[in-house]
Order: sequence, then C-alpha cells, then structure tokens
Amino acid sequence: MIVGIDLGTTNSLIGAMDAGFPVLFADKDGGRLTPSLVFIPDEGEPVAGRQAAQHAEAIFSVKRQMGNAKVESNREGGLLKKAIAPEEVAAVILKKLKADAERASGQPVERAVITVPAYFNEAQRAATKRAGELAGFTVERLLSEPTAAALAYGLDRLGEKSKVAVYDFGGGTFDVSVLELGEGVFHVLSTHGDTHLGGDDLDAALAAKFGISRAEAADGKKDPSGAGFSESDFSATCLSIIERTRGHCLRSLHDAGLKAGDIEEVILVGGVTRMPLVREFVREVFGREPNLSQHPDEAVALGAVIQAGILDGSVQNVTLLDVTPLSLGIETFGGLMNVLIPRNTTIPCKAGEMFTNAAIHQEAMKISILQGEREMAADNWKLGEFSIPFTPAARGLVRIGVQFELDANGLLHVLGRDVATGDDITFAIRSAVEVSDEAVEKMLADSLEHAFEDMDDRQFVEAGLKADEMLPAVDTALQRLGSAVTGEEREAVAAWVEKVTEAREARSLRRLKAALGGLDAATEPLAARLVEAVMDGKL
Amino acid sequence: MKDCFALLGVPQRPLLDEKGLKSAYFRLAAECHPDAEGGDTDKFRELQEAYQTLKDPVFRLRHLAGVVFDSLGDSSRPSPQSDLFLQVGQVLQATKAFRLRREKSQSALARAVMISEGVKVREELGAVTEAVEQALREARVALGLLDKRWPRVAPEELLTLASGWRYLTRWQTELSGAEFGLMLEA
Ligand SMILES: Nc1ncnc2c1ncn2[C@@H]1O[C@H](COP(=O)(O)OP(=O)(O)OP(=O)(O)O)[C@@H](O)[C@H]1O
Ligand SMILES: [Mg+2]
Repeated sequence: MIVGIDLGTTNSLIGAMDAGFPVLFADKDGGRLTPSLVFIPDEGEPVAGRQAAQHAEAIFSVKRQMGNAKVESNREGGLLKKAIAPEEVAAVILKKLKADAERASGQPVERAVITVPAYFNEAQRAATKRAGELAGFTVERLLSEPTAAALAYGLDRLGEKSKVAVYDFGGGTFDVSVLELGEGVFHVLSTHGDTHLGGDDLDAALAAKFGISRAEAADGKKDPSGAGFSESDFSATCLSIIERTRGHCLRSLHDAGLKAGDIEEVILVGGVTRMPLVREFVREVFGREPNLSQHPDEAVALGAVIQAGILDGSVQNVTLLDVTPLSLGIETFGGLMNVLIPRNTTIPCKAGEMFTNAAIHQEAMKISILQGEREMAADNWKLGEFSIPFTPAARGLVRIGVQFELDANGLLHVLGRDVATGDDITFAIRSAVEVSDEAVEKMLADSLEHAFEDMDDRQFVEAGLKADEMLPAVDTALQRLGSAVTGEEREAVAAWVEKVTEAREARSLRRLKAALGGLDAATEPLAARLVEAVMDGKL
Repeated sequence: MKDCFALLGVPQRPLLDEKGLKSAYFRLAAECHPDAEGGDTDKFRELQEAYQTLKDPVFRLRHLAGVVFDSLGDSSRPSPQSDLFLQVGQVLQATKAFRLRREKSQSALARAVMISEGVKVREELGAVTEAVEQALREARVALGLLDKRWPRVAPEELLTLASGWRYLTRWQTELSGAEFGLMLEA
C-alpha cells in the first residue's frame, strides 16, 4: 500500500486507495484534518496536530520555511530554545500521520506520495522529500498540489475532454495551474504561483488593520460581521492580498497559450476559497462561475491518494503529465542565465549542453546551476556550483557535456561527462541551505560596511532625484487639473516647492527631506484627482 | 535523423490536424510514461521531444525540410519583415523606458501624472500586437497553401516560412510580456 499525503501549511491529511476509491484516514480523535502544528518539549517526544495546539509555544506554518536552514520562532513569535531544521519539524507531522494511517488500516505503512505547492523550487522540494524520509517513509513521488486537485476532480470524468484551471489558495501558498484533460490523460499546460502567499498573509493584514491577534484574525475572516469588522475595511484589506493572485492567473493562461474564455471549469481548492470575496474575484478574472465541486480541504489529499494508486497499480488508465514550474539553466560568462529547461516543460525530461576549455592551462570548469525566470544570473536561485576536472589540452579540445535530468518529482540530477575520456561525474545538488548560511552572512557584512561609508551622500542624491521628479510633475498636474485646483491648494503647493528649492541649494539633507515630505502631502489630493480624472476618461 | 512524424504516427506534411496529433501523443504518452506498467523514461523523453517539434509550426517545418529533403537550409537566414521589425523594436523600447521611469518614481503625484502616458503606451503596444497577429494569420494562410501543394514544394519554401514565423512568435511573446509588465506593476 502506498499512502497519499497533503502536507499543508495549516492542515495535513493522509489516505489510501480502498477497493478502487480514494479514502482519507481519521485519527484517534476522529478528525481527518491534522493541524500542522508541532510542539517540541524540552524533554520527551515532540507532538503534532491537536495535541500540539494546546501549547502556546507550538511551531506553526513550518511549510513556509521549507528550504531554509532553520526554524527559529514559535507561534507567538518567541525564539525557540534550540533552532531546528524545517524538515525535522515537518517530519513530526508526517510521523503522526503515518501512525494514524497504520492504526486505521491495520497494516504497516512505508511508502508515500507527498504533495508540494506546484511553485516549490528545488530546495523546497528536496526538503519535503527529506522530511518524508525522516518520518520513516520511502517517498515514491512529490506531486504538485493543483495537479492533485485536478486528479480528484477528473477521476470520474475520464471520458470527457476539457480545459480546466485549478485555483489553489491555501493557508500559506498559492498556485494556479491550467490543465487539459482527455482520454485519461491529465496534461498540465502551465503553472504559476507564490510559495509565500496564503491565508496566513490575510491573517497578518487583518491583525494589523484591526489591532487584534493573528488567531483572532484567522477566525474573524471566516465570519467578518460576527467579528465586528467594518465591511469596507475588511474587503479592502483582504482584496489587497487577494489581488496578488491575479498576475499568476494571467501568466498561467498566457503560458498555456489560452484566453480566459477557453477555460471550461475553474476548480477552487484551499480553505481560503471559502471566502465570498475570493470567489467573486475568481469569477471576475476568469469570467465564469467557479466550480465548487471539490472539497476545499480534501481535494489535494484525495489526488495524492489517486497518484499513489497510479503507482501501485490500483488505479489504471490514468496518466499524469506534469510540468516543472521554474526554468533551469546555467550561468554564462556575462553573468546571464542560459536556460536549458524552460519552465512548463513536461517532466521527466532531459537537456544538455557542451562546454569547451577556454585556455591551455585550464584544469577544471566551473558551472553554476540556476533556477528561476530572471535574465541576470544573480537574480535567480543558485542550486549549486560544480567544478569539473579534466586533463589540460589545447584550447577548444576539451569537451565536457553537462546533462540536466528532471525526474518525475521535479528534482534535478546533474551529470557531467568528459567526452574525450568518457568519464561520467554525477553531482549531488548541495542543498541551497548550506550555501546560503555563509553567503548570506557575507552579503550582510558587505552591505553594512558600505552602508555607513556613504549613507549621507547617497541619501542626499536620492532626495535630489526625487525633487527632480516631483517639481516637473507638480507643474504638469497643476496645468492638467486647471480650475479643479483651489487657490488655497495652489498656494500651499507653491510654498513647499519653494522650500524644496531652498533646501537643495543649501545642501541640507534634513531640510530637503522635510520639504519633500510636505510637498508629498500637499499634492496628495491632486494625485487622487488626477487618477480619478483618467479613470473617468476626462484626461 | 529520426523522424518525429513516424514516431507519432502522423502524416508527413506541413499542416497537421492538431486534435489528431494531440490524441496520438496522449495515447503514446500513456503507454510509455514511467508510471505506467512497462513504461520507459527514455522513450517518454523521446516522445516528448517529437511532440514539441511537431506541435510548433516553426520546428515542424524545419524538421520536415530535414527529414524529407535532407535540407537544414543555409545559415543566412532571411531578414524579418523590416517595417514591422522597426515598429516592434520602437514600441518595446518605449515601453521599457516608461516602465523603468515608473518603477523609479518616488512620489504619488509623479505616478498619477504618468497614468495617461501609460494608457497611451498600452494603446501603441496593442496596435503593434495586432499588426503582428495579422502577420501570423497571413503566415497560417501561407502554411495552408503550402500544404495544398504538398509534396510539390521546395525545401526553401518551408524554411522561409518557418523563419518568418519564428520572428513573429518571438515578437508576440515579447509584446505580451511588455504588456503584462505594464498592467501588473501599475
Ligand atoms: N470559511 C473560511 N473562510 C475563510 N478562510 C478560511 C475558511 N476556512 C478555512 N480558511 C482558511 O484557509 C486556510 C487553510 O486552508 P487549507 O487547509 O487549504 O491550507 P493548507 O492546505 O494547510 O495550506 P497550503 O496548501 O497553503 O500549504 C487558513 O488560512 C484558514 O484560516
Ligand atoms: Mg493545501
């Protein structure tokens, strides 16, 4: 038996195929949802789920830290006595789920499919796999969450052909995927997302807005009027977060080569999609009623179970063609990213590149592996750096082949081959964690050093740039708005303009900053009126 | 040279029925996907590559020229439609400059002043995008005509169409990328 697990930011679930149907297991309290909370006592065994919830010092949302070196704070924001790796914390949750499954099924459970946000990068995926192994599982597959939800949706619609989008807004992560279903094949066309965007962010924004605790906010968003939130404040605060999913939806459609109108169903999953505001938003973006047929908390776990069934043969005639969310490449000489596997390539896949030596005495070639969508190498994640040794030869004679292989988990394997000798060299991707610790410290140290050196100068230059931008903008705004500006407003603006000019001539940073602040405030109503006028088509 | 048409079991010609191609791909993918019984990762990757080649008209035409005529074309690629090329270049530069200025902008007033300019930039982008899409529609017609004459077609014809098409799709991607930038950063 292979189990399917949804390791969620807020809630986790486990299940397995039973007589041809995916089922989820309940724990001994009878609940199928296990809160993703972990409490690590000073002495004794760590606990997860409802048992951990009783402790104020429990660790929450550890999933958002996967791929980082350490978890340092608990639910209350207090520092942990001993920092611990996120995968070790996640392993406590997985162990609890494993025990639940063994109790419910009456048999030992060793193999698992675990879901990950589609937009998880290499480090985050590797950490999740490691968490599974620490909990005593053989991790048979890492499966993307929206793909899992699509499996749950499509299992009893195998005969139909359709294009669907899955909008998965959970406690900590957001993903959107576009798929094509037909003839038993689930073909992911594109995926986008944000691994740090979810209900947690809504909670934080609401807590800040209404001056309440995070836990109160989490409950309050389920029943805003009951919590006494003013409706307009509540929706404005939430929408500022929800709006951040728009670009991902549009990009995902674009990458799939589709328009919103081509999508036949938009499937909602994730607890946050229970909010009427989110449903309204999705309706607007995709121009159709969202499909609510899937259980928002359970669809992903059911999909993981189905994938487990595909692997152990209990589900037949279903094929999943998933993609890699992020481009993979190497750094070129100019510090640019050279893409070898573009994002949204179907996995498993392979790509290679040949390199040659640039000088006679060269004995090794250094290759940096990158993941991400940015043009500059430095703006992407660096997954690792390898040095491939070879016997020196005349320039251009050494030929080294580097091959990238993405497996079905979306995990990368790199192989180097010296073409002359036929020697293969495989590399383990050094986890990004080890790299980052020192690197981050050094980066911090560097930036601090420079920061003190020239702080005042730089600030004055910056303030000057702002003045250069504002003064002409003031002229344009006054001219465009004409009689819509009162005499009083004009005077106030003129007075601040004069102060800005004076402060600049006097080269006083303090005065310049103050004057710019004043000018900002005085022109605020003008800016608002300009925006309004453009929106109304008056300008 | 391996023959992607044969691998997918579709007719060797310029225009392919999209549905038939996809259906063949789905059927074969289900057979050789590593998760399937008797699946084979290397075969799956090969299929993947073949499908990517045939799905895209540019790669398909080049592949056809290679397989049928053993012709990969000479390296001197025909130049793109020059007036359209200029238009695309200009509007992309204007957009980039505008986005940069807006990104650097530090005051609400300056951003407000820029809004109507942004609308204009977007309109220009839209007009050029439409011109590129029109050219793509024409390329599709040309493909249909080639297909009608098949196999009485010279390899250069395939390669010329492929190369013009390639410019158009690349421009289309850049233009829509620029439009996204304008829209989403606002
Ligand atoms: N009725 C509701 N209204 C608003 N929000 C809700 C409601 N029910 C649950 N939520 C929110 O949904 C989130 C949890 O959703 P879910 O269980 O899908 O997340 P998860 O799977 O644990 O997280 P992720 O998939 O991001 O890792 C929490 O932020 C919770 O507050
Ligand atoms: Mg989830």
